[in-house]
Parts: sequence; C-alpha cells; structure tokens
Amino acid sequence: MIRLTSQSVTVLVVVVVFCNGLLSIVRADQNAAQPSRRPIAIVALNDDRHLLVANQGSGSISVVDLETNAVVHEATIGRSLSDLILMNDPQYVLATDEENHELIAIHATPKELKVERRLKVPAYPVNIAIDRETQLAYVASLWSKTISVVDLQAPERGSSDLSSVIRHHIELPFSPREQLLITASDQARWDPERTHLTAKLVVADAFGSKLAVIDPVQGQVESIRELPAHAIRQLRLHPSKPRLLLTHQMLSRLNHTTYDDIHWGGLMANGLRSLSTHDVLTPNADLLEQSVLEYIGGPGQGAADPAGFVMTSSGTVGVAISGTNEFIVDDGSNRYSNRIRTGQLPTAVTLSADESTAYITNTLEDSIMVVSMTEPLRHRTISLGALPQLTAKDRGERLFHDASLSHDRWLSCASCHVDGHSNGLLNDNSSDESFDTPKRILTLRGVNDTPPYAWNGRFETLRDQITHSVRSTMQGGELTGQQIDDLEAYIRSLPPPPSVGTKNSTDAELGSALFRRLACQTCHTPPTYTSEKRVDVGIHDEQDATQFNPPSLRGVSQNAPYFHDGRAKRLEDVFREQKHPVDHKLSEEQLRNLIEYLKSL
Amino acid sequence: MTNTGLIKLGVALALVFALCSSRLIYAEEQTPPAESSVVIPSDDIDQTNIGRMIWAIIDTLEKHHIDAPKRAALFKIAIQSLKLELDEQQLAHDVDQCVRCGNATEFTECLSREFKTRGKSQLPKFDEVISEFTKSLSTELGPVGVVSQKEHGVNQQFQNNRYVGIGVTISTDREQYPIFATIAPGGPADRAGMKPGTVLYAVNDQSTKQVKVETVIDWIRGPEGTELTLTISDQPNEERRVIRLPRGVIRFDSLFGQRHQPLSRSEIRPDESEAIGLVRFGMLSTSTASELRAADARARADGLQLVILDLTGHGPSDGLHQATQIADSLIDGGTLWTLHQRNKKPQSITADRDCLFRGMQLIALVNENTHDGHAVIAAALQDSGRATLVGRASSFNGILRKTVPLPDLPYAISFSAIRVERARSDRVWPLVPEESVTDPNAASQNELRISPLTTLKQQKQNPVMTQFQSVKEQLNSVLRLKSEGDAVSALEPENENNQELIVKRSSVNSGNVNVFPQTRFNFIEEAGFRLAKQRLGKPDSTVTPSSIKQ
Repeated sequence: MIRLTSQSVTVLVVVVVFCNGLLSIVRADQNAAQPSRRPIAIVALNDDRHLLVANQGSGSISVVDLETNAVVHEATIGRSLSDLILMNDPQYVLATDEENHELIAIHATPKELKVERRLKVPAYPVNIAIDRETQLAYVASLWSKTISVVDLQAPERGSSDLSSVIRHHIELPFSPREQLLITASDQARWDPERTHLTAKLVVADAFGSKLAVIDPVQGQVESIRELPAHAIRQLRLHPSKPRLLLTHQMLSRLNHTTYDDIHWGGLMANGLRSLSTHDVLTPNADLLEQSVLEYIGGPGQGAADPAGFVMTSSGTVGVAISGTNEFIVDDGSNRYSNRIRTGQLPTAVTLSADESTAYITNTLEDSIMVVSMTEPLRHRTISLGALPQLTAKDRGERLFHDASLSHDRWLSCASCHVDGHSNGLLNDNSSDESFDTPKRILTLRGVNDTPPYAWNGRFETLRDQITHSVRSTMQGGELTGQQIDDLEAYIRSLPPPPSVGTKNSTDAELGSALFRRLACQTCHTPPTYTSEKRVDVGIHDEQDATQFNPPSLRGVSQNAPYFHDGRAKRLEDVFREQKHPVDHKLSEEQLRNLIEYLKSL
Repeated sequence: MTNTGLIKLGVALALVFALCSSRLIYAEEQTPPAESSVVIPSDDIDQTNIGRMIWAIIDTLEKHHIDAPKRAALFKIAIQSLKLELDEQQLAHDVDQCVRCGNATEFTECLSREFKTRGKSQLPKFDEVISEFTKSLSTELGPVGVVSQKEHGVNQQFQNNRYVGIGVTISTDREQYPIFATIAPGGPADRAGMKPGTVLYAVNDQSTKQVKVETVIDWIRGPEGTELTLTISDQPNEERRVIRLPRGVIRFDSLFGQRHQPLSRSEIRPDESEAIGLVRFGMLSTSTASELRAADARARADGLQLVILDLTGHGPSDGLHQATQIADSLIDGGTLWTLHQRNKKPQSITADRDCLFRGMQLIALVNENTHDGHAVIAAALQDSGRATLVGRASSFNGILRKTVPLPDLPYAISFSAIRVERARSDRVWPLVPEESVTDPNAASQNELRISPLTTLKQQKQNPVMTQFQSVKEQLNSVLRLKSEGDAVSALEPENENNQELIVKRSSVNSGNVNVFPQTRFNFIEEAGFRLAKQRLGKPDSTVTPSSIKQ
C-alpha cells in the first residue's frame, strides 16, 4: 500500500473547500433554465451500434443508437462531465465530473447507465487515461495542476480512505488536460530488444506550450519540455509507427496582427504535428529533432482551432476544426482541403471499431455527427435533444469560438484566450498602440469588474476592447451591436481562474499581513486586486512604454508567466528575480508567506 | 470558489518621374487620395511644398536616420540645393536666415519671401529642388529617396503580395496609343482574355491618344473591387471593343525554381537522380514564408536531403519584417540578429523553435547582389550554423532602410535607419561565404553584372517596380549613368535564356552602355550543387519521416 504523500493531503483539503462551495451552486441552479447538453466526449460501444456521449452542460450521458439515429437513453450522472473512457470490461466506462470533482465508474449498457462508484479527485478533473494492463487510471485535474494515479482494482473503503485507491498525486507546473499513455507493450512493439519497460504518461498543457512525461508507477515527473505550440487539443499515438501525434496552434510573436501577417498564416498557424516517441520518452532529447508538422489551412482558408482527430491504420486523418465548424479528412492526397461542415464547435472525435466512420461531438449544438472516413461526403447528424433557446451568453460563446470573426478564419477569440483563459504567450498586437512590442495575452476570466483593459489600460470599457480586438487583432469585419453585446455577456460570465490555495493557513495569513504592510493593495486593491491606474514598476517595453495597468491578482497562481513580456516564469520569480514592485528585501520565509497568500486569491 | 468548468526606393525623387517615362510601366494603385498626386499643382502650392518638404525631410532624418545627422548640417545641404537650383546671384535676401526659423510654417514663409521677388519663370521647380536635395543628402547619409505616398502604397502592396490592379504593363514607345506589353497571369486582364500587344484607346471613355503614361496609369489604378471600362483592340488597326474590368488583387510568386520559373509551377528538385532541392528567392514579401511552407512540404514529399537556397538577390530595402519572418521559419531558435536604431535600445531578435526543411541540410548561394533582406537572412543562416554559404562576398554593410511617410505631405522618405548586428560577435559585415567561388570571367570595374533574377526579364513577368528601380539605381551608382534613357536601354535587351547581363560602359567618359548577355553566371550555382553532392556522399543518420501519415 502506498502512503499518501504530503502533496496529496494539501490537494484533498482543497477538494473539501470546493465541496463547500458547490452547495451554493446547487441551490442557485434550481431556478435556472434547462441547460444545453454540450456533448464533450464520445465513445463507441463494442456492439458497433451504440455511442455513449458525455455532456458537459447537463452532466448526463446520452446513449445514441446508430441504426435508428436517435438517443435511446439518457441519465444524469453528475453536474458537468468532462471526459469519458471505456474500461477493460466493455460494459464499464469512466467519466470525470469537473464540477463535483469526481471520477465516476459507470456500468453502461444501451439500456441502462448505472453509477457504480464515485471517487473524489483533485478539483477540476478534465481528462482520463487508462492502462488496461495495470488497471490504473490517470486523471488530469486542470486548475489543481495535478495528475492522480487511480488504482481501479483497489477495494472501496468509504470515501474518507482514498489511500488505497489513489496511488499518487503528481503535481505539475502547468494546467494539464490531454493525456496519452504509452504502455510497456507499445514500447516493446517499437523496440523489441528493450526490456524492463514501464508505461509512461504524456501530459499536455491545456493552454500553453508544455509537454510533460510522467512515470505514473513511480509517481515521478521525468521531463517537462516546451513545444512551439499552444492549445494542444488532442494527443494520439500513430496507429503503427513510434510517433506521437498532436493537434495544436502556433502563435508567432514576430508577426504582427496585420491583415497581411494574418493572411499569409504568419501570425497564427494551425496544424497536426508528429513527434518521435523515442524523443518524447527520452527526457533530455530535443522534442523537435525529428518532428514533422503538417499545416492545416492556408492563405484564403484558415482552419482555426484544430481539436480532436483520428487516424486510421491506413493513415487517413480526420480532424475537427472547432473554429470553422468543419471536419477535414485527408488521406495524404489533398493537403487538408477536404472539408465537411459540422455543427457548432466540433470537439471530440472517435473512430468506429472498423475505422470506417468517425463520430464527432458538436458541443454547442447538442448533436453528434457521423462521417464516413472513406467517403466524407456521406455524413449525418444525430440530435441529442432539443437545443434550449440561446441566451446572449450562449450566442456570445458561439461567437467567441467562431473564427469567421477573423480574416479568412485563421483564428478565433479562443485561439489566444483558450477556454476563455490565456495561452500564456506573447502577441504583437496594436492594443498597446505599437508594433514590435509583443505582450503577454491576458486571461479573460474575471475581467467583468476589472476595467480598464489592455496592458496600457487604454480601453475604458470591455466593449471597446472587444471591438478593437476583433477589428484589429483578428482583422475581422465590424461586429454588429448585438454581436458585441453577446460577446460581452459571455466574457463577463467567465469567473476568475480558481485558486488552489487556502486563506486559512498560517503562511497565507502572514502573507496577507505582509501584502498590506508592503502596500501591495495600492495597485492591487481588493476585492478585484487591481485598480484603474497605470503604474511604472520599473520595466519597459521595446518602445520604452513604462505605464501599465496592474493585472488582477484573483487566481494569479493560474496566470503564469508574469509581467507584460512573461519575464517571470513563476510567482517566486516575480519577487526573487524581478524584485517587484521595487527592490524590497524579502526573507525566504516572507516570500513563502506572500506566495501562499497569493495562491489563495 | 464556485467555478464551473472551464523599397528599395529611388535615390531621388527623379525616379518617381522616371518611372513614368520609362518604357514599361505597371499600372497599379490603391485608394488614391486627391492630394497624393505626383503631378505638381499650381506654382504657389509648389513653392509652399518646397519649404514644407525640406522641413519634414530634415525632421524625419534627424529623428530616425541611423547616423544621427545634425539638424544644422541638414539645413546647410538644403540651402545649398536650393541655391543650386536658383540663380544664387539673384537671391534677394540671404536664405540662410531661414534656417533659424522655429517651425515649418515660418520656414516656408521665409522661403516664400524670397520666391515672391522672382518672376514666374525664375521660380524653383519643386521636383528639381527636392531631387537635388535628396541627391546631396545621399552623398552624405547613404541613399535617401523620396516617393509619393501613392507609390509607397503600391510598394507596400508588392511587399505584402497584395497588389491591386488589372495586371498589365504599359508600353508607349512610338505608339500613339499605349499597348499592354505583358499581362500578369491570373490577373483581371488575363482572366478577361487579354493578350500582350493589346492596344488601349480609352479608359472610362477618356481617350489615351498621346496621353502621358503616368496619367493613363492614374486612370487605370483604383481600389480593389472597383470597375473600369477599357476601349481596346487585340492588335493595332483591328476593331475596337469596350470591356469592363474589375480591379483585383494579383498575387506574385516570390520563390522560383529551376529555369527561374515560379516554384509553385515547377519542380523543387532539378535533377530527379539527386535528393537536392533548389529554391530561388525573388523579391521578399509577406507571402514568402508561406511559400516556403509549401516548398517544405514538397521537399519532404520528394525525400530531399539538402536544399540550396539561392539568395543572390535583394529587395525590398525596407523588408526587415519579411526577412525576420523568413529567417524565423528557416532557423530553429536562437538569435537571428540584433537591431540598432536611433533612440531605441538595441533589440536582439530570436527565432522561435522549429524550422522548415527540418532534417535537410541547407546551402545558401550569395554574391555581390546579395543585399538587404537576402543578406541578413544569409547572415543568420550562417551564424546559426543552419546553412553553409557558397559564392562571392556581398558588399552589403548591414544597414537597412526604412520608409517613413512625411507628415501632412503626399510623400514618403526612405533612408538608412537600422543597423543589423550579426548574431555571432566574431562575424562582421560584409558577408563572406565559407565556400568562396571565383568568377571564371572576372568583372572589370566599369561593368555591372545583373543576375538573372533581377533582370528585366524577370521584371516583365513580375511587376515589381521597386526591384526594377533598384537595378537602375545600381546602374546609376556603379556605371554612373547620367540619363534615365541609358539605364533603360541597358535593361532593354531581351534575355530569354535567363543569362547574366553584363552592362559595360563603352568608355570612361561616355555614358553609353553596352550590354552583353552572359551565359555563365551560374558558376555559383554549379559550385553549390558540387558541394551539395559532396555532402550527400556522406550518409546522414537523422531520418525524419516525410509525412505524418507515414
């Protein structure tokens, strides 16, 4: 039996805090209208006839019959499902609930969905990977920045004793989402001469550029490397070669947000990359040494936000393009030009057992699309239920993900503000009234009450910033008043990134006192932990601008890297290296206290 | 805690006008503001403009020129130019006094007081004064050029490969009516089925008979999507017909392959039996990096192991942004160069990780024509170790130009504004290739060699006027040709075989030129291929798959 590590204790405390918070949501939602389903994950059952679809909006699982093209069963499993995966026994699936913070084992047949077990996991679980050889499941928890190693065979001993079930909590310096397990047998297949192989878990940054490789049995992080990439929305193994495939976007800080740099694909590019698994599994190897990148979309026809994808054994690729509402099928002959229109926001894609058909979730349209991989023009759409009337926020969310707001559909708002947050990268736009001054993309989470906007605070209202961003940064057309209203309603609905700390610890309390003593609140004024002023904190941009609007500290632990140019990689570096705001001498203890406090915001 | 989920520009203004008198003109334009006409209006405005222009040029150079010229020195040059154009003896008062004026208005008024005392025939000509001024500035500060903002707009269209027009070049020699000499493939004129030799009788019902070329161009130019009515005939003396044409964006390739054909329509691998690719860089544009991506996909599909990049060209001179994009796409991270500009801290530019032609070796061809963006790209390729340079040294000194619109005037000025420091501190300009190749037919001092890529032949296919200008500039600067006609006649001969042109002065005292098409300029290219084959003789351990599907 593996002992609980001290890290996992901290995380468990957090879970409890989250649970208290959840009670209030339950009450609030009772008066709300029926939410849309928002299908987010999909699996094909082994009977070649049924699909299981996990719904993020309704917390339900829908069972779709491919013969009758209808939902035959739907059951509420949780509050907000985020992933779904088949277990060894094809009658069981695992789901994650990112609001209840649970891993849920479900007995699933076309006729019945029955929850067998619920397991509390670190807050905001969003992805499950499974090792069918060892019966271990890996749960990625987004804002908790944790991978949990769950023993699926461990006996249940009540919810208070998770030690036998969760073997490790592995903390990461980034928010994880996509995971890919490279099993021992995968590795043996590629390299039969090697022995003592163990499974490795590849974990991708949900927002930015990082890729971690974990030894899940030892609970150790083996490598964390960066790719020239962001918004990594799917990891898969090549069906026959030792290659790891991933869809992602690339944002160049050397290109400007001009019509021409966008037009020629310089600013934002979208692609499917293949890495050598040998390089991935070798901690010191250069990930890019044997990388191949295939660009999806080109001048005149951008393909913003490539998301889920599949590859058949014969090498035909099918990629969902979230930003353009398309599914692109390429057998190697057409350079990703064979585009099929999908519903709103296609996200997850899975293949039928015989690889003849792809199933795609249309997340913002509550439907499933069924596409032939050999004859893509043969496709149909299956509704998961009536779509509730769209609110301004719903319409805004569609616009937020809609690349047709940009020139030639190269990018959507979500391309930089991934999931309403930030990809953490630098972008050289004219919001600061100059080029050659790339600045870190700010999160949109929590911006509701933090005017003014832009690094130099030039936009008094969110409306002004939205209008400028679409017109200038995305080189799109003029928005209608209604569109601006809708986008604003959606963006204002995004809460600040959740903190992972607690205000109640001694360290955080001492940190809070120190925060006041250092007069941090002069600029970072509670409750928003920002202010409307523009301040010179001793750093300047390439055009010698020194006056910046202080970013809000709510959820600051989720907003790395820091400063306008991302010069501080971690919170510690803000003080230790950059001596923010001015040359304060902080003892190690004070620094620890301050950081604990900041993490609690 | 209740979160739910989740230009090279002309050396002088003269060039702007020269364009209009040269034999081949591309009729292109963007939205023409009324005041941005190159045609000089009434004498009053002319005189006013002289003062305002001089003031604005001095202001701009003082602020942005890399050499940090002193204001007083610039005024001195201006006054000398003015005196040269006026008859100095007749100056009513000392124009030197004007230098002490505090602003453009006072300066203009001060000059006007002098002009008012003169008869109309004795008034200075705007273009002559400004031309003289920029010429004098050029001797002190390196090339200083003035173009109309209209022309600047056209240059920017080329630079971004977003040229708006109908896609024709106009020839006027010995004809009463202009003739479309060449038709750009894929442009509106081409789509309408027009062929070279089409005679143009009227534009929007205005007769073109004996109308100046620049005026015809002005009529033809206009914003994207707008229509114009042309009266044409396919050949002289044939029946006239009227057609309506929309002005549209015409794209031009900036990468070329074997036989100098656009790379998009020719093989990247010249020799089927070798895994060697050839990519020639024409005028750099914002589309070049995008074209390189397509070239990279084809190089991988062809299983190439080495790519030769022909960088024996130049332009535009203010194409730093494009050069940065291209170098970034070819180089896998690390410092590209450091930029030095007036009143700005040195700025080190680093490439993002990842590069095109990964797993393939690169050889870059350079020669004395390698200037501007081509030269800084070659330097970055050399300094990063990404490519081996083969060819001849370039005289490019690491100074790039910038084109800055003059405030409230319909002109823009281009001048030396950026000093590029190389990534490796032990390397300085000029660019010296690792593999030096000597010319089997060494050139003499009184000749200029123009590589095929920059010759008129190329120009005819691709209306990149700025490049044409820059060739003329070279003719002017190297051979010191006095008249525009000489430069043009030097460029005239048909050069169908993509040969090097060697332009020689007939004698030291003569402006006459002789042109010798030269068959063997490709000795640098041959040396590049020799080295490439040598390299590929050694097996390479890294094999990157050519496609994701493989």
